[in-house]
Amino acid sequence: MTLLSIRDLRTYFYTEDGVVRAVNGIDLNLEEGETLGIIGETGCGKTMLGLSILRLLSENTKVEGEVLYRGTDLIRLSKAEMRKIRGKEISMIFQNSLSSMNPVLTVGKQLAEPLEMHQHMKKQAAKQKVIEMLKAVKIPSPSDRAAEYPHEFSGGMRQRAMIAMGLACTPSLIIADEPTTGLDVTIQAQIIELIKEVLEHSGASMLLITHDLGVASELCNSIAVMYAGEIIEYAGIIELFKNPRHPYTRGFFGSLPNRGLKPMPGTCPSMINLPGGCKFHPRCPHASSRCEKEKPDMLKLGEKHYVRCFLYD
Amino acid sequence: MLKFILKRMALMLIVILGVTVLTFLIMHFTPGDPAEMIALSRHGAESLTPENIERIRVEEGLNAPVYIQYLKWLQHLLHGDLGYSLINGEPVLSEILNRFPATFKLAVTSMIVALIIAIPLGIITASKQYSLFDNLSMMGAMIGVAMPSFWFALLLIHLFALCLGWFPVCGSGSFEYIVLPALTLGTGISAVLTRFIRSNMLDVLRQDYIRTARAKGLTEKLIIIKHALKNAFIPVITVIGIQFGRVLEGSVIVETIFAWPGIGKLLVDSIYSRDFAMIQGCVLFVAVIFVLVNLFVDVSYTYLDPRIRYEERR
Amino acid sequence: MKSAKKLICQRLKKNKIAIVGLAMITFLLFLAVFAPWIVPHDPIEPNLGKRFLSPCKEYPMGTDDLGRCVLSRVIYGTRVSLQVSMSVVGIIAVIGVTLGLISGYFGGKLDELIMRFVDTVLAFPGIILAMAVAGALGPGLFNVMLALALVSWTGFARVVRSSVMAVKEKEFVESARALGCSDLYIMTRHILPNVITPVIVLATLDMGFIILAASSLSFLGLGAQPPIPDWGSMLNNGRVYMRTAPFLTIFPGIAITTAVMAFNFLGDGLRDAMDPRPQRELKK
Repeated sequence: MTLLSIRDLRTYFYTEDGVVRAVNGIDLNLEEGETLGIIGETGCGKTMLGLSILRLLSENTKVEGEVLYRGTDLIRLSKAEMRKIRGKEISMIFQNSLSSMNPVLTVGKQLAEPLEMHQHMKKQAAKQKVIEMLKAVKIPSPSDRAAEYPHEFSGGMRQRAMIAMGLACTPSLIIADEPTTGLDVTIQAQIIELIKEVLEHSGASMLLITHDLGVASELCNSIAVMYAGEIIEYAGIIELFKNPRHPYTRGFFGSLPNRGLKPMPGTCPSMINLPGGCKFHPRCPHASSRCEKEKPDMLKLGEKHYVRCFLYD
Repeated sequence: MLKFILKRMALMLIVILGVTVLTFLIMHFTPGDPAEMIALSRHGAESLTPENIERIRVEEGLNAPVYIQYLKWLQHLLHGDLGYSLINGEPVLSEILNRFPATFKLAVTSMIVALIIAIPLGIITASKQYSLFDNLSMMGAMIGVAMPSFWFALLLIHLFALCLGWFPVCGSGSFEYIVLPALTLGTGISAVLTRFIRSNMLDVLRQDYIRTARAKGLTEKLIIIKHALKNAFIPVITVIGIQFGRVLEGSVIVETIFAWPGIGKLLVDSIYSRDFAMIQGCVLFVAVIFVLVNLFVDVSYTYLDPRIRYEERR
Repeated sequence: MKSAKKLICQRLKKNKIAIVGLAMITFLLFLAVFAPWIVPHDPIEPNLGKRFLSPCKEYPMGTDDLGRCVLSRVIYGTRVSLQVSMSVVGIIAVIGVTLGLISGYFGGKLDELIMRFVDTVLAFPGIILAMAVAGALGPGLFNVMLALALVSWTGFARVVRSSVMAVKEKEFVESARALGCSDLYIMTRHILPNVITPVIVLATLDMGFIILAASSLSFLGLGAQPPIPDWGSMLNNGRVYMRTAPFLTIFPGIAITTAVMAFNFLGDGLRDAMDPRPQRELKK
């Protein structure tokens, strides 16, 4: 069963310097129980994609296209209907847990909110549940911890609490935006283990947004590689690691430390003045004159392997 | 926490000491001979003989070096002796304390008026940024900040006292008398406060944790009440303290216009009658009150913000 | 540095309110400079035959208790107000910048001393201290200017001090020091140009504040003395006749509000242009 189906999603907003096209026509399917990784460099629009799904962007942002969640288009829901989805059906785990939690409310209060909101729990009941939730994400002495403020937690602890908060109402889909960025390597491993466990236990699907291939390989079933607001390659995890096709994906894999560091030349283009044709052509070692003029379509290479490049045309 | 308060209090004592030095110096360098003035106020114009003046100069220690005079004055001060009015010979401190309740009443009422206007206005304009209501309110606030309080007071008197006759023009007594002065002061301060609350709310509403709250599916109302307000209002507390200084400043003019018998009117009257002892006393008193308010604000600030509370505990 | 200035100009051009403020200030300056040629009547000479005329064609803002044209007096008032505020702002900028430079550059005990002095002055509600000084010195415009200067230089000292502390660790200062430049040279040639932007913003905003404060003191009778056409003292004078001749209080009040608003508009605009997301000044 397809849980989430994104059709030609476009997100853009107006700034002093021009229109920023953060998401440029994305098509994606996410099956029930699947974990899909969205990987790409900083600034490629992957966070914007996550926020667009839950419509968490500011008022001046335009989102076009369809986001079908169990058949209903989230883009067309009223604000009140959308609120019933957020945190209940689809929840989001943010990066930088310090700024993402309210500094003047205790962790317990913040965790109880989705329960009070969506399950109409009474304060006392919610408090009990919060302690259980904190225990489930392996936070020691949870009842004391619930009364503390976010800055009194360590980074790893806070991220655990964030995960617990995302899971509060047992959502069917979790969008995790760089859940391990900024943590120590050992803590990172623990958090990955925790997410794995949690997903197995709850059966939820996950959209994992990350720039870290290592994290993606640990958690995901399939991966979509994003560049300048577009998906340029999509494949199952094993297939992609064995057989990366797009020059960008190869470059991306090549720049991993454990494969001998070969940094990719150039940087991600500005989302305001996007190059024409294939958006990667200014940095591509195989670029031809066709790449400058035409935009390549998504080509099917194998059963679950798609790539947006003329090399395979 | 305690350590912080003690530290703040030590700093406050230094500032108050500085305040006494400054007040003393201003009056010391006033043109005119203080001995002459004392002679005039105590014994009348016929006592202005050179011998008499010289005698008073020696008696009052006015021929000693400045710092000796200051220390002597400070010593009196510490015993609650602020000197005597040059006009009617009353002790300065008791006169000030007599007038203080009126000023206090006016200041608190004005502050309440200001908060009643500014809090809802600041919140609504921030949550509906760039709407017509927001633009109009901000325009109003701009005018409110620029408008001199004495002019606004005159307009209010013209409209509500002279034309409509709802409130008395000036004086003190029953409730009606405080309405116009408090409205004058309160409106001026609400203009500053509204702008500050709005920009703080806007700042807070841009924070990541507000996005998190939205992602949890909370309603906008809950987000503002539970998540934004407390964060936005911690800095507002400081500004309220600073604005309290403005209330004291404004009270001078407003009390004069409305003949409200507070310290502000006392100060202006003393300036008119060149009662230097009284001027000195009023300025010193107001400054000390102002410093105390700021100390109170600082302490409450640390209490309200759990981040600072935590730092101090460690 | 140059491109930064260009950017500021660009941003300022986009800020409509700042442009309005600038236009208003230009207009006020025009009135102040050309007052003798613009005014329809003599602002000082009494004309007892024409007392308390309501606004009419000949006297668009009416006449006062001595039969003088209110419009002419309001226009001359621009001159008085701008003269007072510009001189005061000039003086406090010099005092504040000097003390701020010394405090920030040398640091240590000197800094501590200057900052405690600043704290002390700030411990007084400004106008009350100014009133006390003006009251002690006796009424008059010059004394009011002196009093306002004495109490309002602290803002400059604080702003400059914090800017200097940020700049003095920069490499070009270090290298100038290594080259053996004198402290005075480094302070005036290397550091001063880098702290000038916040000083301009503050000076603009302070113009409005000083106009307001000076007119308050004049209103209380401590400032400009008759027959000088000052907005504050015109209001004080007109107050007595409020029931019969409200125009005597209305027009000078509008003039003060407009002038203060003009400088606030430009000051706010400049501040926003120089720093797109202004950091709130907070005691943490």
